[in-house]
Amino acid sequence: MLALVGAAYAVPPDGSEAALLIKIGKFVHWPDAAFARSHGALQLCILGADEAAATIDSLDGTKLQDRVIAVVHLSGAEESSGCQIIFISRSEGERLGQALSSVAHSPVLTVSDMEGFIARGGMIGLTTVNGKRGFEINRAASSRAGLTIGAQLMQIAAAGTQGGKR
Amino acid sequence: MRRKSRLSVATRLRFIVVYASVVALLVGSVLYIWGEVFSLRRSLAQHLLTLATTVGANTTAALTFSDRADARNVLRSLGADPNIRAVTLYDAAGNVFVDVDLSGGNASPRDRLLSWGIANTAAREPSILFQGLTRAHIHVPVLLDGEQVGAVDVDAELTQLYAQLKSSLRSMLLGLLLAATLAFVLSLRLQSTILTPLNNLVRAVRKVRQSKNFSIRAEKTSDDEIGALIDGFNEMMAELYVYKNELEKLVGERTVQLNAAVAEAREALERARAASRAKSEFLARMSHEIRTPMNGVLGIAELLRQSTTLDERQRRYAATIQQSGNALLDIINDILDFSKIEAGKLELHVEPFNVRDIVEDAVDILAERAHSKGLQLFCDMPSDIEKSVTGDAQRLRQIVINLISNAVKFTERGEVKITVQHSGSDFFDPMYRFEVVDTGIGIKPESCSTIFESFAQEDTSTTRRHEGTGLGLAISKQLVELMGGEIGVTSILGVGSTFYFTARLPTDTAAARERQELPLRTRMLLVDDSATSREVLKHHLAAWSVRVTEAVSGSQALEILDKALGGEFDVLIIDTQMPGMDGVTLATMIRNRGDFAGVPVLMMHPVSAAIPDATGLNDGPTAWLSKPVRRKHLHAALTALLVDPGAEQARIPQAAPQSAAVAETEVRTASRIQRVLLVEDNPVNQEVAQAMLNELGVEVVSAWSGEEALEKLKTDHFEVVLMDCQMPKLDGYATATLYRTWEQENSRGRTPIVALTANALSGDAEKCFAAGMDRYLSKPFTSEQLHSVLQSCASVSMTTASEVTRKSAVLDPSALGRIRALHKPGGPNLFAKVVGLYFSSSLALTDAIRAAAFTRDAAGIREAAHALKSSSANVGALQFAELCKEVEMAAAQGQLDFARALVDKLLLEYKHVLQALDAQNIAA
Repeated sequence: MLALVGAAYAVPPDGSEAALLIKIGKFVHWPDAAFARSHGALQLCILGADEAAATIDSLDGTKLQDRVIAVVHLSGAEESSGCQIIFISRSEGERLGQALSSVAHSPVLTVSDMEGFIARGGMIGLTTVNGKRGFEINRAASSRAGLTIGAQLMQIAAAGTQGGKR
Repeated sequence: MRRKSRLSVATRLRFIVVYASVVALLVGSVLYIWGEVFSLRRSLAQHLLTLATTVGANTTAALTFSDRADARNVLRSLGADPNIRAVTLYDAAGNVFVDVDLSGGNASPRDRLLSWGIANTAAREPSILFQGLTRAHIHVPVLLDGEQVGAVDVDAELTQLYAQLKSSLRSMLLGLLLAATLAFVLSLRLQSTILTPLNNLVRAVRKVRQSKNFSIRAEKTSDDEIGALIDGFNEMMAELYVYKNELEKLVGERTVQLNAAVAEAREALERARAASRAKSEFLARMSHEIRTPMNGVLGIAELLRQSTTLDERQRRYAATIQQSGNALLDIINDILDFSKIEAGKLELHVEPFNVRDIVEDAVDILAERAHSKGLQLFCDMPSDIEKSVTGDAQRLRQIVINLISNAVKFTERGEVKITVQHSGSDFFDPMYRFEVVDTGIGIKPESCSTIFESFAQEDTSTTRRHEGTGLGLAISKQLVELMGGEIGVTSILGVGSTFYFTARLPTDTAAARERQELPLRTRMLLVDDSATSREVLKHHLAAWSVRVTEAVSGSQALEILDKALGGEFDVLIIDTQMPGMDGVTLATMIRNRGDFAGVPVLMMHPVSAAIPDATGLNDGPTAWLSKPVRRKHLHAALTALLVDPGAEQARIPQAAPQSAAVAETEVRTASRIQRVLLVEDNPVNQEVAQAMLNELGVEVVSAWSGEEALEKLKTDHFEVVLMDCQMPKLDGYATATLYRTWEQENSRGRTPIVALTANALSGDAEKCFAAGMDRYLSKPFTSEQLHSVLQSCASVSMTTASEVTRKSAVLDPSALGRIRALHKPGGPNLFAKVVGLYFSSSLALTDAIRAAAFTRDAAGIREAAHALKSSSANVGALQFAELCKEVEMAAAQGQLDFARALVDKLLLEYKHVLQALDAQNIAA
């Protein structure tokens, strides 16, 4: 418990996009080859810039799945080749198709808080229903990318979102 | 004390084996089951731990995203395990996240934690806690990414264990049963190794015990403890064998010694018996040898005294010879008695008798001697002494006579009194106490204890004054001791002595006690100057419930009668000899008074005195009794006087007619016997007897041997035979027997035979009667005794002679013989008693018959005739008894006139009976 308290300094405020990202990240399995280019670190790439993306910066240097998180701001989707997670902010709604297609066949988890994200081919969409934060998962997308998402997470997602399950 | 086991060794051995194996198996099984259960529990718990870990891993997402519903769903999946009761999921901070109670209970997680004593719900380490056998608490941390995100606590009840335990126990029982059976079977095989040698030993012991053969050995089969036991047994047997042989040798030696000792003892006994036989033979011979010359001395001395040609001085010398001879004879008798006692020859002849009779006999015998010295002689016995006891009557009488004669001898004036006491309870105490109290010279106290010792007398000076050997008391002492009693004396010098003795005389239960009752409420006036005499009479009378008024003198008696009413007294008893007015005078005066003239009077006079002239008394019923008064006679006299006072002058005959006056006059009269045969081998005795018989005017034919006697008896006729018993070759007994046989064969009348014997030892009389002799005379005898015997034979002889002419005699000799046979030498005159009784009763009965015939009272005649019939038959008056029977029959059939005619005949015949009996009585 003390250990947990000790680690609390890195914990982002509950309900923030950063906190949700970390929790979800715990249940996602990347193939080992995904980390070849990043030299073992987990690159958390941010595409676009808004308030939500800004909170994610605080995760730089923290650990996920025993890997150090390196937050990388991308200027364009074509730079996403070394990323394991790519958070696409709402501002990138127009370039979404391009962004998704650039990582379509790479083991990169795509996360966004824009509406209808998974319907457009994104993997995990962060939602807010009645003031409560939740998420949706597009399992087909993640499977195509060679990512495994824990069954437990799938269950939570089903319980926590409406129609997110495919 | 421990109870001895009755189980055999085999059984116990089997038991031990089975018991031990079952216990061992039980312990093993329990331990095994215990371990089994515990290991099962651990594996169950481990399983739950795994389950909890898995479930915990499935809750990481729920915990991460705080999704309680999801977590609850996950936890519920544990409900599939029946052991799990409750599951709690804690978050990373250790707070309850989700709690699922599967048991249906509603205990809070906090309560459950408290029951387990757990504070930290967020421990990182998994743990298993147990409570009791089945409760378990499992704690598992939930990790995600190496980070603890929570914990799962499982509360379980391992009920599965019970099922396992049950089946384990069942298998264990089955195993035990199998093991016990196996152990039993194995023990059967194993025990034979122990029991076989043991049984061998037991068999050996039994064999030794049965056969007594100590050479038997048990076979040793092993070298263990049993082997040692068998060794020990065999060694013991060897020792016993040796010991037994030694013992047998010793017994053999001792037996030889014992046999020698027994033989020696037997020889000694034989010698002692021979000596004893020799002694008693010597005694008998001495008795005979001494009596024969004594017979001569005494007989001739008596004849000398009676000789008319002697002068006074010569007569006195002859008297002295006779007295000295008698004294010597007494001494010899005493010595013989004493020798017999000393030799242990004296045996008591136990027979039934009456104590009162014995004492009164003794008093009778010594009455004359006492009266001649001017002494009063009384006897005082309680009324209940009138019963039959068993003991030696002759010897008892000897003691009493001895003591009384001593008392009379040493008393110069005053009285001698005999008392008999008895505790009354015969069954428990048959001891009688006899006392003879005199007013004589007395005995010094220091002599009282030695006086009963043999050959001791009071002192030499007394011995000189009073003749005597001192043997009398010594003999009495011995006799008393034989009777189981003791003898003693108390005395005050110059005042008098009391000799007493006790004797064990058990009551003769067979003898029915006769009750003699006088008519009730008889009142009597007793006139006697002697207080003792009055006391004794009162004693008797009280027993018969007679009311007695006493008077000490004639004048006092008259005074009493003056004051009395007529009929106040039923009877008067008057002593003839009183100072002042004598008895006869008093009685005559009373008879002359109007008021008491008809009252019966009983006169008492001393035995030695002649009956005084009493013609003045003839007006009323009067009876005479001699003093000392015998109870029986007193009763008979009173009965006669009271029961039939109207009868003419009742004269009670004297039962003991040896009154000196009577005897002397009789001696002078010529004997009725004319001719006798005297059989005697001793010349002195021949001469004495011849001289005596000649003096009596009897013709004597002498025979000197048995053979000669038989010859003379067959050819000649004699009225009486006097037969000496001890003769060479054919003795008196044999001669008598031969003669009696000859008499019968030749149908000759029976000649009375009188035995003359010098042998005073007991059994002689019986021998004489057995040999067919009729009378018995012990040598030495006086001419008076000889005369009496001849007189008694006279009537028998007469009867015999008249038998030819008359069909039957007045008296039947055989009946008389029976009565005489009761009489023993020196004993009471039974014949006289019987006859005396007959006299008194028959007088009353004939009077009754006469009175009844006069008043034509048929029943009265019948009753009296019946009574008279039986008593007459008893004394041998058979003819008369027959007549009585005829009278009885006639009266019974109502033929009164015929009965009256017969009564006349009966009364006539009665006189003949009385005469015949009188003759017999005097002769007896």
